[in-house]
Amino acid sequence: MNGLQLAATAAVDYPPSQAFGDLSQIAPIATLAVAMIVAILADAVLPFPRRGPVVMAISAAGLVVAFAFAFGSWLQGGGHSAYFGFVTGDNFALYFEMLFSVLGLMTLVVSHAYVRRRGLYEAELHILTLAALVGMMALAAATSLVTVFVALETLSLALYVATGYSRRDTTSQEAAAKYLLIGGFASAFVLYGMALVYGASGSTLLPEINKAITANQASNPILILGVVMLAVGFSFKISGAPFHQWTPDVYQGAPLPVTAFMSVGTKAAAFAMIIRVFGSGLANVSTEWQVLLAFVAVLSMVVGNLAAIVQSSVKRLLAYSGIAQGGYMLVGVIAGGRDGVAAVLFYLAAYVFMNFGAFAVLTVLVDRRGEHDQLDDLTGLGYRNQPLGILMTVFMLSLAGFPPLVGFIGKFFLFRAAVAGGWTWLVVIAVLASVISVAYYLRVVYHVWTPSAEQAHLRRMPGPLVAVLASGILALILGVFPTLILVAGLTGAAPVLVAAGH
Amino acid sequence: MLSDYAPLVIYAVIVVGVVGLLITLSNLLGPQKPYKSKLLPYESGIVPVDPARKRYSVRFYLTAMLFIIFDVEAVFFYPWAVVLRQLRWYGVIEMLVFIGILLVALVHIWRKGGLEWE
Repeated sequence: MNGLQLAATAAVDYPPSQAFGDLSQIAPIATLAVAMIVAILADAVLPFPRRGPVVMAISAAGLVVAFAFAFGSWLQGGGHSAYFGFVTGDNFALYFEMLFSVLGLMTLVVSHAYVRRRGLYEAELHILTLAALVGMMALAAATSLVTVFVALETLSLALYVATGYSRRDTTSQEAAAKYLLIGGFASAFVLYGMALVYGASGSTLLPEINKAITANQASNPILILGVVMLAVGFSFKISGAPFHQWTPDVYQGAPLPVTAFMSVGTKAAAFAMIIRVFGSGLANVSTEWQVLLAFVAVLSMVVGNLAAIVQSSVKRLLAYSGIAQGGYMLVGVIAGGRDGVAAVLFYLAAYVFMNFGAFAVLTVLVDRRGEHDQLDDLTGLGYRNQPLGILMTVFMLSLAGFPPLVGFIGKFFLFRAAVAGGWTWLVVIAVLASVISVAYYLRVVYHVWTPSAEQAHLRRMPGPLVAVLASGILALILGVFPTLILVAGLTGAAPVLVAAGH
Repeated sequence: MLSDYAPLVIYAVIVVGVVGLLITLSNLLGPQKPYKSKLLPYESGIVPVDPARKRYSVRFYLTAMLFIIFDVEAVFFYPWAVVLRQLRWYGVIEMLVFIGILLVALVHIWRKGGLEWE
């Protein structure tokens, strides 16, 4: 049966009931897409002063409804595959859809305050955020190489533009150009890898690929080349060393809310993609990709942590810290299995709150002249605004992995899963690397609590404060009661494992 | 597995071989009498006045980008038209949604002044 015949027969048996059934599986993604289109229309036709607030309201409403759809489906035990196996509404997808909805809401409030203070145009930043969120959610839900790639491009294209959003700022423009070129390069790797995997397996659907590729195919050069290229492309996207060089420049140049959003959003979406494609689609050649990812993980942890020590800009410091954190999460991916995947899902949720919170603190320091992201700008923050100082301390200690904060529990789950999976040497390196990381996280804390001549109180910014407070409280609560998310992580991990276990 | 791709490799070898042979032969056998006006860039018979590599307005890029979007839209109509009978009303609705989304984009571009040259 050739492709045309398949399409024709498939189309004939597509009753309206199935169309609605399929649509319900992607309800959160569809909701956000509709909200984005309505927002674009509102931005075009409304009078100028009303555009920002209206677009923000539409975006917030879309995100709340998307979360409600995902949560509702989650409570009913999760959805199933839809659109001929191209996407799914399973618990793994729903977990990420809920996570991205929350991230989107936090980004909205921080962006709103930021554009006001910098005097930038508001509406389009929210629209770009929504577009990126649609891509991220679709990436977590994609179960075909085709949908994976389309979702990856949707998220990337929106972020390229968002990175250059500060139009008069040359560093922002430079960052956008770099991100576009490197991102396009990475996408090409992913695409070539996908083409080769398709050539070796004869299908783009991940479950079909899993069936077609058996362990004895590990010597097939086409397949191995495809896996290597996919690993390289994916490493670019999670900014794993040695494919990380773009990260510090892009994170530093992008406007703060965009940096905050993409540092956690892209990472979470890319990990969802890696777990889906490698963990469920290419599970039978896991030995091959585990070696590649282990190499990237070790290098990321070492390079990220060592380079972060010498940074004087907090944005760059957090960029290198993000490279290292990606390395820790790769350890969980390599460990695999129920515990490994659940640990990665848990750590991603924790990372979203810790890292976003830290960037949101920096947003409070923004004024009309620009961003103040040097370590020296943080000096005395704890005395100028005590709650902010305390929360920044919480985020830094959590990222470093101090108990009883969520970062510690998250790392514990990751490393325990890896030891159980027989990757003890990797865990030893990871623990040593995270000891190094304490040095620079504590340096930020040291600056926050060093008295400075500047005693002026910071101007109140309700938006970022809410985001900071919410992140901080979540970092604390999840640290003490990790089961709240871990149970969700285990539920979310289940569908990916069913696909792999045969 | 790899042998499945043998025809592709043979095809590639033939393509490179034939094209290479033709270029080489025409270079070897053809008469060559170059003089200055023969070596000039061809501009529809007019003598070139300026070098081609110079700066021009960024607005051309914007127009080109907008063209691409709606050009790609048109490309999607062809496969859709072929299977429209099988898709029935579902296909019609789906295409209307697709056009609707692009229409919103057009409205946005229009209102933001993307279609104005000055």
